[in-house]
Amino acid sequence: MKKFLKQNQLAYFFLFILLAAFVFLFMRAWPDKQMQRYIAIIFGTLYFIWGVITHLKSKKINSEIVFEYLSIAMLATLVIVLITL
Amino acid sequence: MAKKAKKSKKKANFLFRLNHLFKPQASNKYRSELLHPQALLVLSFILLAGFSFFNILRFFPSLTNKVLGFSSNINVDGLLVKTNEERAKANLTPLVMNEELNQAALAKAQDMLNDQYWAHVAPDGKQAWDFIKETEYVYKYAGENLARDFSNNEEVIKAWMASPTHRENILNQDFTQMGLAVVNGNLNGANTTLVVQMFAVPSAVTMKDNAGAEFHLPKAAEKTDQKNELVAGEKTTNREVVFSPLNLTRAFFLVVVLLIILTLLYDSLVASNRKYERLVGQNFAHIALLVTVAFLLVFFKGGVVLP
Repeated sequence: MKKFLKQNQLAYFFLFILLAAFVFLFMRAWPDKQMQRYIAIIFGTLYFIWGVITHLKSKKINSEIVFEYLSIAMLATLVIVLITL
Repeated sequence: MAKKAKKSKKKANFLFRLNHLFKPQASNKYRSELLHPQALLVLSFILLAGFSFFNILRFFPSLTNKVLGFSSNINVDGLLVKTNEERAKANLTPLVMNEELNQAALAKAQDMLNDQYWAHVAPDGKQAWDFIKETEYVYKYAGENLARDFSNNEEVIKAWMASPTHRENILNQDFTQMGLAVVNGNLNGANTTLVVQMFAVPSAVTMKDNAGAEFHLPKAAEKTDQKNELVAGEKTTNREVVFSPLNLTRAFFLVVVLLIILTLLYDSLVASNRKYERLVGQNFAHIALLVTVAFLLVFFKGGVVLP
C-alpha cells in the first residue's frame, strides 16, 4: 500500500481535495436537503471514477476492483442520501 | 465427551466464519469477505432495512410518544431577539411584536397540525394572508417563514438566513411588525416543533421602493387580497432528541460505517504483515471516503427547505 501511495501521490492529493470539497459543499448546502443529495451522488460518482482511473494508470485493475469501488461509492452515497431523506 | 467435542467444533466453526469475514486468508481470496462487492451490497440492503425500520416507528404514535422522546428549545422571545440581531447587522430597524400577527401565526400552525399539511397554502386553498385577515389586522405587505424540526432558536434563524427567500423576509426593510408561533405537535406521524413567523407592514405605514422613495399602495389594492404581496418561505430542520428516528438512523449508519473502516484497517494490517501480493482496491482511499461519510453523519443537521 505504501508503494502504491508513493506512486500515486498526485492521485491522492486530488482525492483529498475532492473529499474536502465534498464536506464543504455538503455543509454549505444546508438546509437544502435536495441539494445535499445531489452533492452526495455527484461525489460518490467522482470517487468511483477516481478509483478506476487511478488503477487504470497503475495498470493494476480487474473487474473485481471496479465492482469494489462501485460498491463502496454506492454504500457511501446511500448513507448520505438516506440520512437527508 | 461427544457433547464437548460438538461444542468445540461449533466454536471452531464460529471462529473460522469470523476470520473468513474479517481476516484476509485463502478462504476469502486474501481479502476480508466483508470487503467483497457482494458483501458490501448486502450491507447496503441492511442499511436500507434499518432506515425503513426506524422510519416505520413514526407510524406508531403510542410508541413514539413513550420511547422516542421529543424536545426543543425554541421560544418566541428568543426568535424575536435573533431576528432583530440579524436585522441590526444589516442596519435595519428592529421588528416589533404584534399580538394580532401572533394570533395569525398560531392559527396557521394549528391549522397545519389539524389538517396535517406542511405548505404555504392549506389543502382547502387557505393562504397565509387569510390567517392575518381573520385577526382583522390590515396590512399592505406581508410575508411568512415556516420552520419545523429545529432544536433551538439559533438553528432556526441560521437556516432561514441560509435560504434566499427566508432571508429576504427577515431583512426586508419594509416590514415593521412580526408575529411568531412555536407549536409542538405530531405532523405526518412525527413529533415536531412548528415555527411560524409572519411579517407585515400595517396599512397606515408608508413604504419605500428600491430607490428609497416613499409610496402608497392604491386604496383598492389595500382592500384586495390579490394586490397584497405575500413573500413566502418555508423550511424545516432536525430536532435534538436522543431517540428520534433521525438520531437512531444516524447511530445505526455510524456503526455500519465504522465496522467497514475497522475491517479495512485490519485487512491492510494483516496483508501488510504477511506480505500478501494481491490485486484489490485501495484500502486507504476507501478509509478516507468512509471517514468523510462518518464525519458528515456526526455533524449532520436535519432540515428541509421547500421552494
